[in-house]
This record gives sequence, C-alpha cells and structure tokens, in this order.
Amino acid sequence: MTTAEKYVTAAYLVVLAVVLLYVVLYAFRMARLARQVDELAESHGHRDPAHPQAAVPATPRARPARVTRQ
Amino acid sequence: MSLRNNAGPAAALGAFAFLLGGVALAFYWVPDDADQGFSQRIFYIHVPVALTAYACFGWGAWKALRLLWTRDQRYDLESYTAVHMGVIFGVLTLVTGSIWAKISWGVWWSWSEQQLVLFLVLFLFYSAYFMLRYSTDPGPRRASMSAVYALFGVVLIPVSFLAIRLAENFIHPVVFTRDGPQMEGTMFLTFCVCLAGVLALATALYQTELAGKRLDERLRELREALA
Repeated sequence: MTTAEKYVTAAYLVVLAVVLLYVVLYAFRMARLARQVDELAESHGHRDPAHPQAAVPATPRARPARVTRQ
Repeated sequence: MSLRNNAGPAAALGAFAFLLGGVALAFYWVPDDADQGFSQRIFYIHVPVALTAYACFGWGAWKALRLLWTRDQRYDLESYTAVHMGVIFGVLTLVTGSIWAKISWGVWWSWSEQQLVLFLVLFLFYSAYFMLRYSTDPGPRRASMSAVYALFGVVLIPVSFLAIRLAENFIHPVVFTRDGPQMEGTMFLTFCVCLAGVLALATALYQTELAGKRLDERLRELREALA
C-alpha cells in the first residue's frame, strides 16, 4: 500500500467512524429514553404489555368515587 | 405533532446504496487524476461532505427564518437539528481536507488559504451557536435568539464558497468553474453518486436526530404533566 493509498483510505474510514460513533451514541440515547419511559410508566402504575405480571404500581392512585346510576 | 419518521428509513437506505456504489466507483472505476494521481480520490468524499455541511447550515437558517416569520416553535428544534448536523459534517470536512492537504501540499493546514480559513470561521461560528443556545433558558426568547444567530451565519456560506474563486493566489484546486466541471465524465458521475449518498446520509441523520429530540421533549412534557 502506497502512502497516498493509506491517506485516502484513512479519509474514507474517518467518515465511516464518525457515522458509526453517531449510531453508538444514538443507541445509548434510545436506551436512556426507554428507561425513562419505563420509570414513568412504573411510577404511574402502567403495566408493560410484554411483562404484565412484573409491573406493580409503586404509588397506587386513589380510586375514583363510584357513581351510582339513578 | 406526530413522532412518526417515515423519511428517515428511506433516506438511510438511499444513503447506504449511493455511498456503497460511490465508494466502489471511486476506488475501482475512475481513472487516476493526471495531476494528483491516486490521492485525488479524497475529492469524492471531501467535496460532497463540505457541500452537505453548507446545505445543513442553509437548511438551519431557512428553518430559523420560518420561526421568525411564523413564530411557530417547532421550527426551533428543526433549525437546531440542522445546525447540529452541519457541525458534524463540518468536522468531517476539516478532517478529510486536512488529510488531502497533507498528501498534496505536505502540510495538515495552511493559514494562507482563504477557503480553509473561511470554512474554519464558518464552523467555529456555528459551534458557538450551542454555547449561545445553552446559556439561556428554554422558551420563545431562546428560540428567537438562536434563530437570529443561525440566520447571521448563513451569510458566511457564499463568502466561504466564493473565496477560492475571488482569491488571486491559491493552491486549493478549483473544479467547478463557469465553464462547468473541469473533470472527466466518469469522475463527474462518481462525484454525483457520492454527493447523493452524503446528502441522503445527512437527511437520514437529520430525521433520526429530530425524532430523538422530539421524543425527549415529549417525554419531558409528559413527566411535568404527570408530576
């Protein structure tokens, strides 16, 4: 491999590396968002459809007043 | 506002196909340049990346103008995302340009080159956009300030682009003149494929980043509403 070939390859690899770095950072961001959504759902007693038995409401809400039909 | 992102996957597929084809053409099809030899192949990635950086900054300025014109706050996030993408492609322009300079001129950087220095000024100007944005509290005031800043920066784009043509003494090559592209048909076709690929990549990244930022915003609003 000549010096020119090494430099040209390096230039193309830099672009590839930056795109891959972006993808990795975005994956971390998606994981953080998913965690925050889970925390939010858990704190408000929503059940995860994938694991319905796992979710337990952390702060149970007050039951709404029963309305009797006249 | 919908969080659906249909343009992103299509642009990502386009970017993959065009960039794969473009790199294959650049390495295996186009002939060596008579003057620069093999090293001229950096042209097929460096110039599309630089033009894409200009396009991102221009898009950010357009969205900023829309914000100031309509006062619709959704343009703030779009302008911010475009500037964000422009800075990423600006870094790539500077890095690939430095590598090309090292092969062709024997130095990583030349302060006497107006094209290089003006692009660096443009890049630093838009890098400072983030400092301005995060030094003020979120809201309409920050959106307006950021929009005005993004609009001012767009003035530097034609100056940067035309600098090489206005300069009398330069070593930076000029390929696109008033007489058209000064290169063979195969080289121009390869350049067009690579440009399409990099523009599609920028579109995919813009759509993805915008979707992520909107998701962040919606989640924050939801958390505040439920608190």
